[in-house]
Amino acid sequence: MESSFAGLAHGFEVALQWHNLIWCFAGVIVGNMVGVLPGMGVLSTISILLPLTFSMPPVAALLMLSGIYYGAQYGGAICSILLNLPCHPPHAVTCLDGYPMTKQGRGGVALGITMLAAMVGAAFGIGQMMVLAPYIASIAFKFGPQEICALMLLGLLAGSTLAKGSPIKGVSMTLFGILLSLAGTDINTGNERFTFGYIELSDGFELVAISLGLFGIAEFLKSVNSVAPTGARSVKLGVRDLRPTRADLRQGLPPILRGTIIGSLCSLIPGTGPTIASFIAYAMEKKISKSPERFGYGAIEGVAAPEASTHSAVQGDFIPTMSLGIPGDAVMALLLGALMIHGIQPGPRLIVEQPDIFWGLIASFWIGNLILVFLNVPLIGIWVKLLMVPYRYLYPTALFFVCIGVFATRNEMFDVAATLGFGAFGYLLLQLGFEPAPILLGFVLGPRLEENFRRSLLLSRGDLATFIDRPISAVFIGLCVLLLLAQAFAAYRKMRAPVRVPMSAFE
Amino acid sequence: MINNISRRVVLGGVAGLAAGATMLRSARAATYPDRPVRIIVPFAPGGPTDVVARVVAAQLGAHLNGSFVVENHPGAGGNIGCGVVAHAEPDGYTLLIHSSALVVNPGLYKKVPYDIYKDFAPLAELGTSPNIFFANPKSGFKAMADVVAKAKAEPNALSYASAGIGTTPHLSAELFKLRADVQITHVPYNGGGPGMQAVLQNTTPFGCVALTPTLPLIAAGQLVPLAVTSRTRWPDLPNVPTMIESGYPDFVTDTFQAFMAPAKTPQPVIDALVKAAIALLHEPDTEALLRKDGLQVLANGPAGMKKRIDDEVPMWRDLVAKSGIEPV
Repeated sequence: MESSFAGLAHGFEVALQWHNLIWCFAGVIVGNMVGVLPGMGVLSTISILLPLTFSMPPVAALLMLSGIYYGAQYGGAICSILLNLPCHPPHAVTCLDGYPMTKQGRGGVALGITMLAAMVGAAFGIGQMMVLAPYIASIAFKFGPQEICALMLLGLLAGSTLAKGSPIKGVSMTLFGILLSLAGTDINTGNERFTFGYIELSDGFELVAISLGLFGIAEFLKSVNSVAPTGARSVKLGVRDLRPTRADLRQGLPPILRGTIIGSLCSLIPGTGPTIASFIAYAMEKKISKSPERFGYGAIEGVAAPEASTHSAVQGDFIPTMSLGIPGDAVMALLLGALMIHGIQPGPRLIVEQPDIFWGLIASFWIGNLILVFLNVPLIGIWVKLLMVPYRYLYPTALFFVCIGVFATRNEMFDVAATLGFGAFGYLLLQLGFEPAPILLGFVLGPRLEENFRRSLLLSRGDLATFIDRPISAVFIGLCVLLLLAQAFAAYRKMRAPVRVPMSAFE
Repeated sequence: MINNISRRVVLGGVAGLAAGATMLRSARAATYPDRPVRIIVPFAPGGPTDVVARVVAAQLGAHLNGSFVVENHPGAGGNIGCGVVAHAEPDGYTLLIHSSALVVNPGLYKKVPYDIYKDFAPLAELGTSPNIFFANPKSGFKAMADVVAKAKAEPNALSYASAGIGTTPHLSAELFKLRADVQITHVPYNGGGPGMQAVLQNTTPFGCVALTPTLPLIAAGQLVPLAVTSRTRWPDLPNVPTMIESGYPDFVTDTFQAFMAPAKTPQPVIDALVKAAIALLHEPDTEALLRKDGLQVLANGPAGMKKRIDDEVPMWRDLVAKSGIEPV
């Protein structure tokens, strides 16, 4: 612990050197812009800027590139909350309550809470990295395929009712999401499934295409239908409150803390990044809420928990990359590549051998996040003013950026068509009273469940007992059973309860 | 008369135009590139091939005084991007930087959207990186012979982790199984990182992935190197034997990086690209940069690249068939 603070002090010395500071600043600004614009992805931005870093000192290069990653998370929630456009997958779940808040004229409050969540989540994530990085290996190693499989099962069971409305519809949408995720190449055999001869489907659907289609485009189709011919504004997007009140803060803080913890736990489990963390945080928040019926209609907890969780998972994402040299996702792989170009190989000895890199990075996280908060809080007012732009200009512009953004993920027109297709489908679902959010849950958790389930069985030579032989996985399976029993019990009580039929029904 | 004149004028004009067009074309070849050149990478940004392509693209731009832009077309194990280049206009403005999947996929997939022999003009073999067999310290394995002994003693009890179906690490391990005549269950992971992690946490006792990312974990004693798949020992691991030294003659598998253009690209353009590519690969700075990315620079020209394709397409196809991997 003491050595952590000595290390951090050294880190600040490094990160506050003016050239490092400038690159860190540049990184978070670029990241913030990338996050706000629906047309740019973090991965492609870092990739494009990578050659620029070849001639830079390694510390500056790393500070800038990682600044883009966490900087983007600050902007990512803005489109989700104000326009129902989830351009960055970790913020998709923020749409569920963020956009209803905007429709109630509380978009500014939602953004304010997001900033607070970001600050708390990131601070916790960085703290965790300072303290836990040397021990990460022993935690990560406890999570084999069996544990991950059991955890995903728990996530799916808990989350399938995360949307408002009928639970049966929610479960069916979750299953539909899992079904969608099956399209593509099976990693165990290499066979293509449900690709119908489209080579573009060989890696499955793009998450961005599905989320933008089901949320953004579907919402657009819904509201464009109700636009009055005179050009009157159909969606009432108000700017009544700009700042969270004291009551909002009191209501938002506990979910922020819970989300933060879920996010940091998720970041420790290999391959469970910010997107999964945000979904689990939302599902969890709804499960333990005393008034789950408010979720989906602008509950402030529904914004606070997933946002905090995303930010703490994003910072935590750096831990396995830096302390093991094993990247948790594509962005981390790219950062690892950038470091290797400079002859630095992150691994168990990085903290000792390259204190400049490790502690400099951590110090820059503190600085970068601080810059981002100071930058974004005053900007909230400006973002919210965006809603004053007349609908007939705002939405076509946003749609244009959406198309570019989807196209840019892998330079395929197919994905643009898929987005529009999912948009039309999402509109249909909305008309029939199905909420699209569980589709995303199934799509995100489903493949991890399947992959690890089959991997476990491959390792146990087909013995299902492997899931209860291992303590951690047994605990998760036990929780799943409890959850199902509780659900069944609740249903049973409801059935036994005398049904009061109004007399009028017999008349 | 008038008709004649006009016909002569017209004919002359046409001839002149044709000559002009020819001159224009050769002039254009001389000034290649006069607009941005796309280098297609058939993988997502961030992978080793993408990093190589970005290093090469930046240097090519400096050498040929133009702008070379990397464009990622990931999907289907590299087949999508490869198909894009195979069917692109052969004018030198669409090029390809690809990995070994270029020569593995024709044997691995029932159908690929390109003809490896007819659709491409090879430009250069940029570099190569070997794979490594490694084990968890708890497994007790110190060399490949230990793995064989264990596999023979307890048939079908061992598992190994790889970077995924059809990757050269997977195929290297299958080749090892064939040559050593042992049965070991393959557990595919989604990339080299997760494969490495599986061995680190002893989910599988040993595995095979690309060499470079394992170096820090080997240095820290968390992974035990068993053998490298290059022809000679790897400079960073002077004490680790090759597969040849481990008793498997001619066991050389690696992942190379290929630089290709569509077939029928004008010869002057090809010449210019080859010259620039070879020159930049010989620059110490570039070489050092790629070396750190885990790539040993080869800098072989079109002939070397072509030989690699001619040798390896049948080799991998044969291995896929023999190891019982069903083409997809």
